[in-house]
Parts: sequence; C-alpha cells; structure tokens
Amino acid sequence: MSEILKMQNLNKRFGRKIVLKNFSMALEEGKVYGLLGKNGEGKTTLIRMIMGVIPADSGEMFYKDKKINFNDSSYKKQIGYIPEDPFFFSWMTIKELLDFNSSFYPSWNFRKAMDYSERFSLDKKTKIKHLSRGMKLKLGLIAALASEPQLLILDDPTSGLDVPTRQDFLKDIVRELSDAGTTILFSTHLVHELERIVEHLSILHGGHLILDDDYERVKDLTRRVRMTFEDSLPEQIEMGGILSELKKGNRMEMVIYPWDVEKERKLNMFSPLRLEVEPLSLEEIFVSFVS
Amino acid sequence: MSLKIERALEEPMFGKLFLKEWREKINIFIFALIAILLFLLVFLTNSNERELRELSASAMILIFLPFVALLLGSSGFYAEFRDDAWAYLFSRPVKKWKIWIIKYFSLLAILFSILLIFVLAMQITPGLKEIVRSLTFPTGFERDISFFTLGLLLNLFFFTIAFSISFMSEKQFIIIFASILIGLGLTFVLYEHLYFLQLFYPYRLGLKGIFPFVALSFISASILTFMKSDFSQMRKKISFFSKLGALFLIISIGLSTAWTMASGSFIGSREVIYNLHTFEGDAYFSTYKGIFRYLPSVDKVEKIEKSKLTFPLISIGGGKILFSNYKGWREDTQELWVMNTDGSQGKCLICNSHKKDSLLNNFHLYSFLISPDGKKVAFLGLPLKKIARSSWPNLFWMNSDGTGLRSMPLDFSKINNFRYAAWTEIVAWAEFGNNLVILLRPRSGSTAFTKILMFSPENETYKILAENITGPWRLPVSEGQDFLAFFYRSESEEKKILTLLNLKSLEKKEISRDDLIKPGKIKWSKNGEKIVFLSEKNKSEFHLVVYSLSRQKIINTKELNQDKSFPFITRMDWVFNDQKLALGSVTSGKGYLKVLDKDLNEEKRIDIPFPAKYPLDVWGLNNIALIIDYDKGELWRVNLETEEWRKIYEN
Amino acid sequence: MIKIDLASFLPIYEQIKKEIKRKITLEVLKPHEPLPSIRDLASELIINPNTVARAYRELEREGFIYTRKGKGCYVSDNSASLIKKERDRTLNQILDQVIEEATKFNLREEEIKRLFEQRLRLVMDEKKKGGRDE
Repeated sequence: MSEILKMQNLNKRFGRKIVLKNFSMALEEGKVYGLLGKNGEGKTTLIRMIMGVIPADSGEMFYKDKKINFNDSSYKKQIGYIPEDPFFFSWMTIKELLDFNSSFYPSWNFRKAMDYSERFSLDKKTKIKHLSRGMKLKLGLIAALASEPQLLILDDPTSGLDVPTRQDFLKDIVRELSDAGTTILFSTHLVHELERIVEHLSILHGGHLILDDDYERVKDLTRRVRMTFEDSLPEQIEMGGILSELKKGNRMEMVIYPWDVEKERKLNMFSPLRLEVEPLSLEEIFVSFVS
Repeated sequence: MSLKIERALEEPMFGKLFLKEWREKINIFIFALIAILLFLLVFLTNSNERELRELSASAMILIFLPFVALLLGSSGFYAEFRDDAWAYLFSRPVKKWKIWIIKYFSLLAILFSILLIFVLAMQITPGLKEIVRSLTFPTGFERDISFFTLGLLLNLFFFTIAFSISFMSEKQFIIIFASILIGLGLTFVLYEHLYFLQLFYPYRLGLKGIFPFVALSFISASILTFMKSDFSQMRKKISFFSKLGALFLIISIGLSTAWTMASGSFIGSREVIYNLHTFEGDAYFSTYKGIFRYLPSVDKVEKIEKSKLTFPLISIGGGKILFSNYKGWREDTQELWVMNTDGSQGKCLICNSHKKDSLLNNFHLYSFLISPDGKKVAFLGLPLKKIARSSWPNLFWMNSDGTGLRSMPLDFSKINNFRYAAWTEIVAWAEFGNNLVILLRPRSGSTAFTKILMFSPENETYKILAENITGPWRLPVSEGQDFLAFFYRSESEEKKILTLLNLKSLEKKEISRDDLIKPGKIKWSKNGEKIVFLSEKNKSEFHLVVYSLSRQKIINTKELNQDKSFPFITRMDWVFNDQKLALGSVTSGKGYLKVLDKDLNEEKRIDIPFPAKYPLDVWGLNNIALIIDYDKGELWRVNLETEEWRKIYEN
Repeated sequence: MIKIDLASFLPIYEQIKKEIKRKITLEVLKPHEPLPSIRDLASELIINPNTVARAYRELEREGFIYTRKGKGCYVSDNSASLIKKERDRTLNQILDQVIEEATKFNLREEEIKRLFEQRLRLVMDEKKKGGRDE
C-alpha cells in the first residue's frame, strides 16, 4: 500500500502558543483515518496546512511521494475538502458556486454533482447566505465529491448538526467509500459516527500524535478494568499503560492500554474481590487518552 | 501536449474569478456611475457659472474618482474576509499569486470602465472637455501637469496601494485610511526628493517616471507577502509586508531615479542652435552642448563654454559674453555667468539664486544685457509663481566682476494705458553705460501702445523715447549698441515710419516711404553706418533698400524676384566689409545664397547644400557666410569666394 | 436485519460473520442465496465497506460463502454443516475444558453428567424467567 499523504516534523505556532510540534503522520491509500483531538488543539490548523491555506513554520509534506510546497496547487486537484465552518461566498447561488468550483477541477463530474443535488433536494437558485447549516454541509459534500477526489479531508463538518443529518452524511461517505475507495482523513471531536467507519486512529494532543494505530488493534487493547476490594484500595499500582484512574471507596476503575494477560495477572496479585474487564467505545478511548 | 491541455483548463477558472470580482464589486461601479451622472447634471444646469463648473470638475477628477479607486482597491479581499471564504479560495488548486493577479486586474478593469465612462462623458457633454483641459497644476518642474493626467495617476496609484494592503485588515475603512496616509506621505516624500535632486541636475526628472516603480514595489511586496505569509495572522502579515515593502521601496526609488537620470531628456530641444551673434568678426552661438565660437580666420569652431545651457540667450559686449545657465532643472536654479569671448575667466555672477537670502530668490531671470564696454550687466527678473507673473519685473544690475548687485522693482503703471503690467525688455545700454533703454509692450490688446524709455537706475527716472511702436519684434540694435531701429505709427499718418535712434545722442532719424517696410528684415552693417531693409509694394513687389546714416539718405534700392510659394522673404547680412550683401532666398523650393554687390546686383548664386525647409537666416563675416540647417540643428559655413561649403557644427 | 453493537468486545466484522452464520443456521439464508452486496450492507449498517469486505473475505476463506465474479457473494452448499461443525468444535473445546477440570477434582463420569444436567436445568429456567432474548 502506498502512502498518499505524508507529513514530517511539522511545526506551527501562533504567537507564543505552539500548536503543532514535530508532528508526523502518514496516510495509506484507501483507508479511513480518524484524527481526534480536543477543540483548539490543532486539527484544523493541520488540515489547513495540508490544504495550503496557511504555511507550516517548518517541516515537510509529501503527496504521493512528491514534496508539496506552500504554493503548489496541482496536488489539490485530487483532494476534496469539507471544512468545519461553511465558508463559501454568501452572495453566490448554489448553481453559481458549483459552477465556480467546477472550473478548478479538471476531473469534475457534472453528472455526479447533479445527481447529488437532486438527491439532496437543493434548489439551485437559493443563495448560500440563505442556506441552513445542514444544507451548507450537503453543498460542501457535493463540492468535495463531485471532483472525484482521491483523498477526502473532513474537518469536523458535522458539528452543530442534528443526529439524522449526521447519519445521512455518514451514509453518503460510506457510499463514496464503496464506490471509489477514497482515502479519508476525518477529523472530529464528535467521535460517535467516526466509530463506524474508522480504520486507523490518530489522537492529536500536545502538538503531536500520542496515538497512531490501527483502530481494531486499539479497540482490542484498550480495556476498562473495574476492581472491587474488600478493605482499602492499594496505595500505588505500578504498571505501565494506565491511562486513567478513578477511586471510589473500595472500588477502583482504570483504563489501560495496552491490555494483556500479563497485566491481568499483575492486577490479580492485589487480590481484588472482583475484577471486571470491559471494552470501551471510541469516545471513551479518546477521553481516556487526552485527559 | 498535456501542458497545453492543462493551460486550456485553467482558462475557465480565470474567467470565473474575473466575473466573481465584478459581481462582488458591482455596487461600487453603480455608485460611481450615479455620482458621474449627478455631476453631469450639476455641470449641465450651470452652464453660466464657470467657477462652479471648474470646481465640480476638479473635485470629480482629483477627489472623487481617486476615492472610487481607493474604494475598489481596498475592497480587494473584503468578500473573502467577510465570508471567511479566503480559506475556501486558498484551498482550491490555484496558485496564490495567480489569485492576486487576477483580482488586481479584474478590479483594475472595473476602475478603467468607470474612467472610460467619465472620458466618454467628457466627449459628449458640451463644455466639459474644454474645462478639464484648462485645469492645470503647477509642479515647479518642466511644465504644469494637467488635472486630468494627475487624476489618472492618482487613481492608479491609490488603487494599487489600497489593493496591495487590502488583505492586511478585515475592516475596509482602515485600509482606506492607511492608503491615503501612505499615498499622500509617499507623494510628499517623492516630491521633496525630486525637488531636492533637481537642484543640481539639469536633466528632466519626472515624478511620472518614478511612480510606476513605487507602485511596482508595492505590488511585489504584496504578492510576496500573499504567497509566503499566514493569512490568518494579521500582525505577521503586516510586519512581513512592511519590511519587504520598505526594502522594495528604497530600491525602486533609487533605481528609478538613476534610470530617469540616465534617460532624462535635456530641457529644451537638442537640435536647436540658438542665438547666433556675430561680433567683431567672429560668430558666437549656443546649443544644448554649450557655447561655441567660430573663428573665420582659422575656419574653426571651438567650444568656449561646456556647461549644458538651458537658456539660450547670450549677450556679448566689451570682449565678454554674458549668458544664463540652469544648474538643475528647477526654475530657481538659474545662474548668470560672464566670461571672456575666448571662454576664459568664467565667473558666476549669480549663483544659488534659490537660496532664501539671495536677492534673486524666486525670480526668473531674463533679458540680460552686457554693456558695450563689458563692464556692466543688467537683467530683469519676473516672479516664478505663475500667478504672479503678470506683474512688473524687477530690474537688476551689477558690475561684470560680480560686485555691486542692485535691484529695484519697476513700475511703469503711471505711464498711461498700462492697466496691467507690460512685457518689459532691456533693449540696450545707452549714454555710456549709465542708462538703459527699456521696451514696454502691453500684454494684451494691440501693440500700438508699445513704448521705449530711457531709464536711469541711479536716479530712478525715465524718459519716454518713442511711443506707438509697431515693430520689429526684436528691435535691431547695431553691434556696438550705438543705434536702434524701430517702426512706429504716427498719429498724423496712417503708415508706419522707420526710425533710427542714436543711443548716444538720442537723435532720431525718420525714414518714411510710401510702401510698406517689412519690419522683420532690417540689418545694421558691422560698422553701424548703414542699414538695409526690405520693403513691399503690392504684396508681390519687394525692394531691398540701403540707407546710409552718414549721408542721411537712401543710397540704393533694388527690386527682388520672389518665389510666390515662399511668401516671406528670407534674411540677409552684410559681407565683405559691409560692401556687399549675402541674401538667403528660396526659389521653386530650392534654397540659394545670393551675393549682391554694392549696387545690389546679384553677383553670384550659391546653392544651399541641404533642402530649404525653413526661411534661411544668413550671417555674414567678411568673406564667409553662415547658415543654419534648422531641421538637423547643423551649422554651415560657405566661403563666398570659393563657394566651398563646410559643416562646422552638428549634433 | 443484521444488528451490530459498537460497544461490544467483538470487532464489527466478527459480529457480521456471527450474524451471517446464525442466519444460515436458522435457514433464513439458504445455500446459493446471495448475500447483500458489500455496498448495500455497509450502507444499511452505516459502516466502513472494508469492514464488510473483511467479514465476507474471512467467511469465504472459511468456506461458508463463495464469490461469483461480478455477481456477488453466495451462501455455500455445505455452509450449514460447516457451521454445525464449527459450533461443535467450539462447544467441544469448552466441554473438554470442563471435563478436564472435573477430572482434576476427581469427579467420575456420572457425577459430571449429573452436575451438567443440574446446571443446564437451572440456567434454562432462569432464561425462561428473564425472558431475555439473545
């Protein structure tokens, strides 16, 4: 599998605030990447840098093994981008915007754009400033997908939308995946939907990735361990991989990554009354990693 | 092949971006249109009030339209900011500098359309074109700049500055404000910079040459900032741009100044040979290269003054030459020099006239004359400010060694019929160099009221020598400033009377004839004893007349045949020790030099070695005659005995 | 209707596999019947098609389904028996463990049998009471 996008040692600061520090990440073709991170932690900055909207302070990026500089533009023809806040020219109508957008992409599929518009029931003559958030999302989707991109980058596009809309959106993404096998970089802090489609999980925290692994593996290896003790809780449990710890009376809860039999044995040595191990949802995994 | 396809595919993108700009800024366009229409309305309904019309036209051209340019420029990235659409645009597959360029030219196109509409309005609306043409602005440099040109430059300049900084702030009014500040500040700095330079530099430096470079430096700094900096960080953008912009600005001003200096054209024309004087057997003339003299004894031209002459008048007397020079281009850098006729011992009589404490500060010096003995120098000065030019001049006089500079304002308004200040000229020194003969010519109305006075600077008294002088335009003075000839119209008789005035004794001798004496062609003989002039009988009969002062009568007349197609008679001069005349004439488009003997019979006819396009001026130096080819700015001499021509000066 | 539980220990693809096997066992899916296309199933469940693809791949590898080029995946002929075999294999493994443990406690065959029947009755009764459907 080849790498469609590679980022090496990216650094970016805004004034005194360092947002990205020696950030590195690589995307393999055809997979769905989930990029999680708390709000304001640099996800949007990173994506903007990939899209050449703002420059990195230092570091390099490669698209299909070709170095991309801030002023390169041709690699963007293969990328579809849906940002968090709708950012089109508010005076344009839907038709005008799609028309305008199409002129940038030689691979623009007019048929597809039309099909999507019909399916979404978008009135072409409506001005963008009169569109609801949900409709703008749909428009953003068309704008990104009609160019038949090889890489689709989504920057939290569904925040602020209701669940049915989010579900619909996800369905469209899934359909796109089935049809084209597009590589997807999905950045969000609403992890619930991501859970269904993510294949590779990356968590951005403190300016770089604290987790960058196959999702199934992570899910497999992250466990919540609940222990009930007869008397007092053990003072200190010396063990690697404790992401979080919660003590309440004679009960103790820990999230551990990576979980293995060795760790289970170690915990049993503290002689708990009960030891329960359960998996976590992606949301819980994320929370544990970043807190 | 694929490159071609790629290029072709880029076309629709540019078109779309262009149209997008028009759509977004159409409001400004409409606003400008309405304003122009309103202006036209005001203009048309006030056809009698010239001042109001001029005011409103000036306001339109110098204030409103540049303001529109400012609006357009500053609106450059407004839509992108307002809708946060800059991230959208930047994430499209298009290079950032291309975005900048397309936007710039799209908005420029809108600006040009507005200007075009205004120009169209100028053509259609009666009276508007004339008024606009009449509005000018004194720049203190070469010539006044018309409001329209200035307005155009202002438009482009402010538009470019505003656009270049328009992505530095979200708030349009800040951009407008900053642009005005920068624009005015820069203009002021550049103006002062050039004004200062022109103190030393005689070549024509125009602000027009430097503005494009300044605009270019803004554009490049802007594009580079656009391409390199983080659009989301205001402060970084501004600091990056400021540093780059300042650097480019300094380089561009330096480069453009050097360039305009190198390619600067000399003030005045390069080809002209000014002011040929014959004096004591030699000829003196000035060109843009300096002052030259021709010595027939060795048949050579030598340069006696190397400086770049910008003012062509020279005055010769008493073995000295008096001439004026501009050190720099500026009007107030005028200098007055005196030197021996061989070029030695040049002395600057008036230097640094621009200095505030100088007596000659802010005067334009003209009409200078050196006394026949070379000891005294007199000249006039008019105030430099154009508005004040229609005022009486100041008289200046001093010794030719530089001492004794005195000045006094002249005011002859008490002499009747001079409601406004008359054009004043110093014609000659008289009475052994203590008095001046001054010509006063009214600026408007008929020249019938032209007078000449004898003026005594010491006593500040004057005496009217003659009135109602009708010509010649340049009063012919004999070589030693002994005699003066002029025409006047007497009250009793309708015709013009040729009068000869002895400047020493102030005696007048009138020569009256039935026919009309052609005022232009009067030449004193070198010894001042004879005068030759041309008279016209019936618009086709011309006579050459020689009058002898000693014998006090006409001693010779001769009828001339003239080429009908060349109606004005060409000129002549005395040759062979005042015994013969050399006459330049044109027959059937061909030029000839005719030599007439003492009976005014044609002795010989020599062909002119260049096509005779202009009337031929002839100067005589004994057996040599000099002719100027005005077309090429070349000087020829011919040996009247051997008929051999030689070009003695060329550019 | 295949249902998946995101919170489960089991990866999604495993759940899909399990569900399909269950359907085959219940004869809801009969041999040579087509399975929903990857596209449709992913769309219905709103999950990554790769996940469905993986489930189908493994099912094919294990012999429960086969692919006809361009037409999709179908239930194998012997899938039911295969499932039974697998089921038996899994249960046998667990039973073997129980028997092994029991012999360590020195239980005899009859005692093991009695223990097992007692336990079976208890669990089944409880299930009926709880009325919980699995």
